[in-house]
Amino acid sequence: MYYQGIEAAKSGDLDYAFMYFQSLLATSPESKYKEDSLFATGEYYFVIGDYRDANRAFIQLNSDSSNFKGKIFALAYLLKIAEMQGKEAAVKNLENEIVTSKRLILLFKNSKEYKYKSPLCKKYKVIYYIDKVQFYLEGKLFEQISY
Amino acid sequence: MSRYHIKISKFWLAICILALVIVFAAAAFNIILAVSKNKLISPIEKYFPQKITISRIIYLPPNFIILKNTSFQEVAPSTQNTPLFIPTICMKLSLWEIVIKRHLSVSDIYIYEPDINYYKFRLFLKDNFKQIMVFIHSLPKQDINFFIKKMKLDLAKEDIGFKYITADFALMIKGSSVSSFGSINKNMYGNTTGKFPLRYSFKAFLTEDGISVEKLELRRENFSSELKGSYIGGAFRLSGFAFMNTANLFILDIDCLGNFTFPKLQIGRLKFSLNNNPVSLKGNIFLSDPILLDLVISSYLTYPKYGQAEDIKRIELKIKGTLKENVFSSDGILNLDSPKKKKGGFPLERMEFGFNGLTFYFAQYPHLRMHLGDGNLFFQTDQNEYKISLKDLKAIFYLRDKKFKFVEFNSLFYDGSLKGQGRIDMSNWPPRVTSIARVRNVSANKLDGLLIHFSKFHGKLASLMYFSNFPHLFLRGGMIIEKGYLYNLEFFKWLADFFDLPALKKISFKKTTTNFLVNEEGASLQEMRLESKDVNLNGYFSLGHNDLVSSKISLFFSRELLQKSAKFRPLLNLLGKDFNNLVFDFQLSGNLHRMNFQWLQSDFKRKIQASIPHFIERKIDRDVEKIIESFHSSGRNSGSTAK
Repeated sequence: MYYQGIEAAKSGDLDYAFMYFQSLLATSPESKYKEDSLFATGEYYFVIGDYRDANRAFIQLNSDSSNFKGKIFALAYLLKIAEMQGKEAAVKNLENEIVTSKRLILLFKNSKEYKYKSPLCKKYKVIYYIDKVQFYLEGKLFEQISY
Repeated sequence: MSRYHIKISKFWLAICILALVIVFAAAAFNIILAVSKNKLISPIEKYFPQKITISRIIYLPPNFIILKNTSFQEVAPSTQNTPLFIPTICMKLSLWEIVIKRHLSVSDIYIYEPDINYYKFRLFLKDNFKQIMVFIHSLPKQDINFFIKKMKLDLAKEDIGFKYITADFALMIKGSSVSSFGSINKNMYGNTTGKFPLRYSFKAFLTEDGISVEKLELRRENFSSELKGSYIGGAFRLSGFAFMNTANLFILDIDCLGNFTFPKLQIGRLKFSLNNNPVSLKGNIFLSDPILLDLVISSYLTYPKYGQAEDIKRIELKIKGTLKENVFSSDGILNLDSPKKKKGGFPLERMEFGFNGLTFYFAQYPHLRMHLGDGNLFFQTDQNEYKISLKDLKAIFYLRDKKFKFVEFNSLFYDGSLKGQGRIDMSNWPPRVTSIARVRNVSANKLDGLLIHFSKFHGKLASLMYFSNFPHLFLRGGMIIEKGYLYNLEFFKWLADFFDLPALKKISFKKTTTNFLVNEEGASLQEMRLESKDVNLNGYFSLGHNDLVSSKISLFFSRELLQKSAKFRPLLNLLGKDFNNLVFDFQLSGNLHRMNFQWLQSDFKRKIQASIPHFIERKIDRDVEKIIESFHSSGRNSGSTAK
């Protein structure tokens, strides 16, 4: 079901992809693809402008998963949604969580970057600098935190 | 002689005879009064142990009796030894009662210039409170007017008599209705202190075993208060309000319940709102000598600027003290809690100030002297705890000016000293405080309660600091530690282990200096500078909300020092002899307890990068990251908070 969702996403049919991922979450809650599927549903809700459900999906992802590769991007989505909704306190908390989520040691490089490709076939990249974090979605700057 | 003249003569004769009769009767009555003076006094004397003396009792026709020089004598018959001396008491008898009812009844009493020694009178009240109450109850229940003119309440302990209160009172009792009015003025050193005396008016009703006050009004130049309540069977109740325009103080919704049996005043509940800050008080006051206090005062402070809901701080003062001869001594504890944090506000969560031997000397008021035996100040922010100890703190408050109050203070401060001065602008609420203070000759490591990092610094510290709470709360200043050493600072300790340089564990320096700033945004060390033979450091370090760090630091290591390291020697050979000092510029960021680190670009770094291949760079990167992570983990496991 997970791969069917990916196939649907690859062919550009996000609605079907979403239905596959949601079915997986409903029928196989212990699946190893649970976190990726949850991320995909969050992405889908965000794309269609359903920020409330997107927020719920990313919050669940953030609280349930510990080593999920896309977790930092789920936080970026939550931050984006909080900014759009003008929730100042939530923005501050999320910025702090993102900033402190990774300890950075830069000896010879000026930054470190991590990538993630979502089940909806979107390419994510986060670049950590000593005083800022930049998130890219499909090569475009999606979110930035300076501190 | 005509009949007309005969009539006139008879009339005058009758008048003269009547006058003679009155004079003789008065003289006879005066003689009787003089003879039976002691008999007249004795019914009153049975209530009091003191000897009551009256030099003369005079009857003045038609209906006045005058008592001259009345006193309650403790030992000798002189005003210096009496709690109460009254030169003249004039009693007006009711002619109606005498003529119609043939009953001797006093309708008015005038007391002129009574002289009361406050301290002795207080003792007299304390010793005779019950008797006074019994005496008052024994008086006939009748309508009476009672006037006291130019009363003098002497406040001087020694009978010098230059500090006293003057007052005029009028009291009217009609049936169960009591009304009174009057004024009180202070007289210091022969001058009245204010142009405007405190005036009062009072309306009440007598009940079976007490009094119910319908209205008590107090008025002065910039003071106004209206109260009502009752005092029945020892229990009292009070409610009302007070405005004090000079200090912008508004006391509303006063609600007080308690018991009063002289000398004990027990306040079960006193609640009021002080400038919209709810205040409650309970405890006991003993009006003995000395006056004893045991009170708990608490309030929820609100700052209108920030809004009530977001910045409520609970403040509570528990205090036990004594007041004697213009000296108030106390021990206690002051607690301040901030249960709800204001967004972007100073992250203070709790403050506690324990004090012993806190004494205020009022004798030279409006110069108020203060002495603190020892005090311990404790602060807790959302991340850290701070402690400051003070010993033998002396301060003088200059309170004469209505708008600005000034303070000068000095104290022992650990093994050094603290000296400073401050100004409080009372025209705003909360008052605006600015203060400057200088610390001298303190062993830096003794300040570890204030900041744990001080435990690593050895040497004598001096500092000049400036504090203000307006327009924003801040503390800034400069600090210098001279002729000392830095021992086992975690960062240098780590460098010492990592680079095999034990000399870095103890760095002796001539001086290290920094400026500092603490405000609502956080705390920062600016222009940090440390100069030593082999290691120099300069830079800045800021700590903001959520313990977020912002820092850039330059470290200079001498070639001689690095030569001692087996790990650095090959690197130095690689660099050649161009480098006498190696400069490490680095930047820190992120969470204080998990800081990000970047080695900034420099000639030294460029030379290193040019000398080693990229895969070695990446390996070093990985290795250092692992080491730092392990260092962080071990630091956490050992429970150390030092950085």
